[in-house]
Amino acid sequence: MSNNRMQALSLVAAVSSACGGSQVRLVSPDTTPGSRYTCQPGEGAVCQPATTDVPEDLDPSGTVFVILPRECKGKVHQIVVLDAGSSHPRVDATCAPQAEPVEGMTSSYPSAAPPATAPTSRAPTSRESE
Amino acid sequence: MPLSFPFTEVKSVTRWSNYSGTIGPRAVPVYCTPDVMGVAGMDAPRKLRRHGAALEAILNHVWSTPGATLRAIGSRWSFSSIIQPGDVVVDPANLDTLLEVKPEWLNEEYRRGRFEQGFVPVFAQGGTQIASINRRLLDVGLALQTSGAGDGHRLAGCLATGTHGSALRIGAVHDTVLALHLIIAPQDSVFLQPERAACGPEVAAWLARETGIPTRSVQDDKLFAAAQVGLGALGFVHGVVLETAPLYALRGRILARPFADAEVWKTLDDLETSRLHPDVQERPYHFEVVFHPYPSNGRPGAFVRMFWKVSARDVAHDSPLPVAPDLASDTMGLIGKLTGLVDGALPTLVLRAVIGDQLSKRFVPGDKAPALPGMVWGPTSLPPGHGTSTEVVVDQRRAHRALELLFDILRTHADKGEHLLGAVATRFIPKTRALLGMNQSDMSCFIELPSIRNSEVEGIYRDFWDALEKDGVPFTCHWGQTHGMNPKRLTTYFGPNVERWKAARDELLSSAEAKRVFQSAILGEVGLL
Repeated sequence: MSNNRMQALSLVAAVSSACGGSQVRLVSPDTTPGSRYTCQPGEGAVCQPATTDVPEDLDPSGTVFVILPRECKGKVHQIVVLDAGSSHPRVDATCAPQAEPVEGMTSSYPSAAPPATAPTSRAPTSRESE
Repeated sequence: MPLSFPFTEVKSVTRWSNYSGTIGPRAVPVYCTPDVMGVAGMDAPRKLRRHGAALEAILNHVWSTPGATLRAIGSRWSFSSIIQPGDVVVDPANLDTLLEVKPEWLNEEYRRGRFEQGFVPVFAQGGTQIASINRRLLDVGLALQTSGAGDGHRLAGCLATGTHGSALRIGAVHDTVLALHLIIAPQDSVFLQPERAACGPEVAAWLARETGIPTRSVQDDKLFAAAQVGLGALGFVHGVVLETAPLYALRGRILARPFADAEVWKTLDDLETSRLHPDVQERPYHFEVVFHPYPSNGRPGAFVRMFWKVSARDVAHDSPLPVAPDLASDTMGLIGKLTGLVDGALPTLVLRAVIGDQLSKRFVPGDKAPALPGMVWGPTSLPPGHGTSTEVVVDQRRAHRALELLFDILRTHADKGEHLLGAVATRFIPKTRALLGMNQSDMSCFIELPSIRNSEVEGIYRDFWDALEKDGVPFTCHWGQTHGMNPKRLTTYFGPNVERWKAARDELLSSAEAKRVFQSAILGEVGLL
C-alpha cells in the first residue's frame, strides 16, 4: 500500500513542477489516508517521509481533482497526467495486480479474483468553475 | 542519534496543523507512524505484536523523557485543543485491524440476548477510519449502528470527542462500544468493560498474547463510563469492541419548509415527528433539521432530513467515491461551497441568497431511495484550512429557547455586518452512560454552527455561549469543536460527573508519569486536571 502511495505522490510532484505550480490531486477510492511522502522527479528518485503536514498547503485554489480507478483497489502501478498544464488534464492510470501471498494448494485455489485490467482513465473533476 | 522504535517510521515534522487550520502550524519533534510497511516472512511477528512492540517502545521513550507528552492523532478534524500535539505524536493510521469476536468468547447473557438478535461484537483498532469500517462490515453483512455526519473520523477520535450522528434511539458512537483496550503504561493495559460485560476473559488474554503487552480484564461501570468519552487522556486507545448491527439501509425524505413552519418548531419541542410524515407510521431512525441562519419570508429556511431503517436487500452495495473539496455530502461541507463563493464582507441580502441557494441545492425535497449507511454518511468536502464550528448541546426541552437566543444573536450581528458563513444544524440523540458524553439528558439537542472561519464568527459563538449562561440554559460544547467551556460551565452541565471522571482518571492513571504522558491541553481549559 505504501509503495503505491509513494508512486502516486511522486507523479503528482512531477506534474506540479511540470505545469508551473498548478496542482493535480489524485485520490484512490476505497482507501484511507496513511503516511505521507515527498518525492522528487528523476531516475532512481527516493521518496522521503514528508516533514511538513499542513492540509491547507496541499489544496490551493484551482487544484484539479481526479478520482483514480476503483478497479485498482488502491494498488496503482503507474499514473500519467496528460496535458498537465492545461485546464482539462487527463489521467492514464495503470493498476497493479492484486498479488496474493504464497498459499498452499487447496481445493479453493486460486483464492483471489483475477487482477483488474489496465489501463483505465477517467476525466478529471476540476474546481475551475469556482 | 535519531530516535528509532520497532516497526515504526519516526520523523520530525517542521510544520503541522489540524485539518481546519485552527491548531498550528507548529513543529512536532517526534512523529511516529507504526507499521508503515508491514513485515513479511515466516518469522515476522503478527500485526498486533508489531503494533504492541512499537507502542511499548514509544511509551518507554515518552515515560523517560522529562515533561514529554504523547498525543494520538486521528483524522485531525477536531477544531479544539483536544488535538493539540505535544512532543511526541503517534499516527495510528495502520492500526486498522477489524475482527469479529469469537462467539464462544462472549458471555452467556450477551450471547443469548443481543448476539442471537443479530448484533455482532467486532474488535476494531483505534486508528480505523469509519469509511473503512463501513466498507469492511458491508462485506460480512454488518453495519455500524451510528456514526458522525461524515465517514472520515478515526475510531479513537470518535471516542475522544464524543462523535455522534442523529440516531434518535441509539445515541452517539460511544454508546455502541462494548469494551475498550487502553494501553496505560509501556507494560500495562486494561481491557475495560462495564460490570454486565459482553466479552469473557478470553478477549483480554488474547489481546495480551497478540500485542505482547500485559492486559488486565477490568469490569467497572465507573471506569468504563469515564473511558467511553476519554478526551484522549485516559491512555492510548488501542482498540474497542463495537456492537455492530445486521446490515441495513436507510430510506430518506427531505422536507424544505419556511423557517417559521409551525410543524417543524413543534416537532423540535416534543420530537413527535409523525406530523412531518403522516403517511409513514414508524418513527425515523435519523432525524435532523438544518436552518438557514438568515431566513427570508416565503423561501425555504428549515430543511428536515429523516431516514428510516429498511432492509438492505436489493440495495446497491457500493461505497461512496472520494469527493473534491467543493462537492459536499455533509452539512459541514456547506462551508466548502461557500468558501469558493464568499470572498470578503457581503451584505446580509447577498449572503442570504448565497446560503439559501446552497441549502436548496443540498437539501432537495422528496423521497430518497434506500442507501447503505456508509453511502449516506460519506466523505467530507470541507476544504482544509478555512473552517470552524461550534456545537452547543442542551436538554432537548431547552432547544427551542436556545434557538430563539441564537437567532436573536445572528440578527444582531447581521445588523452590524457580521455573519455566520454556514448553516445551523440541529440533531437529537438519547441519554448516554458516558460521564462526559455530551448527550446527558433523556434527549439532548445538538446545535451545530459550521462556518467559514473569521473573527466575526468567533464573536457570534461567544455571544451564543454567554447568552445561554445568562438565560440559565445549561449547555456544553462538542469536545472536538470550538468551545466556550470553563470549569464553572462544565460543572453546571455535567454536575457530579466531573469529579467522577477525574477520580476515574486518577484510578486508571495512578502514577504522575502516566498523567503527564496522556495530558491534553483541553483538560486544563475546562478544569479536568
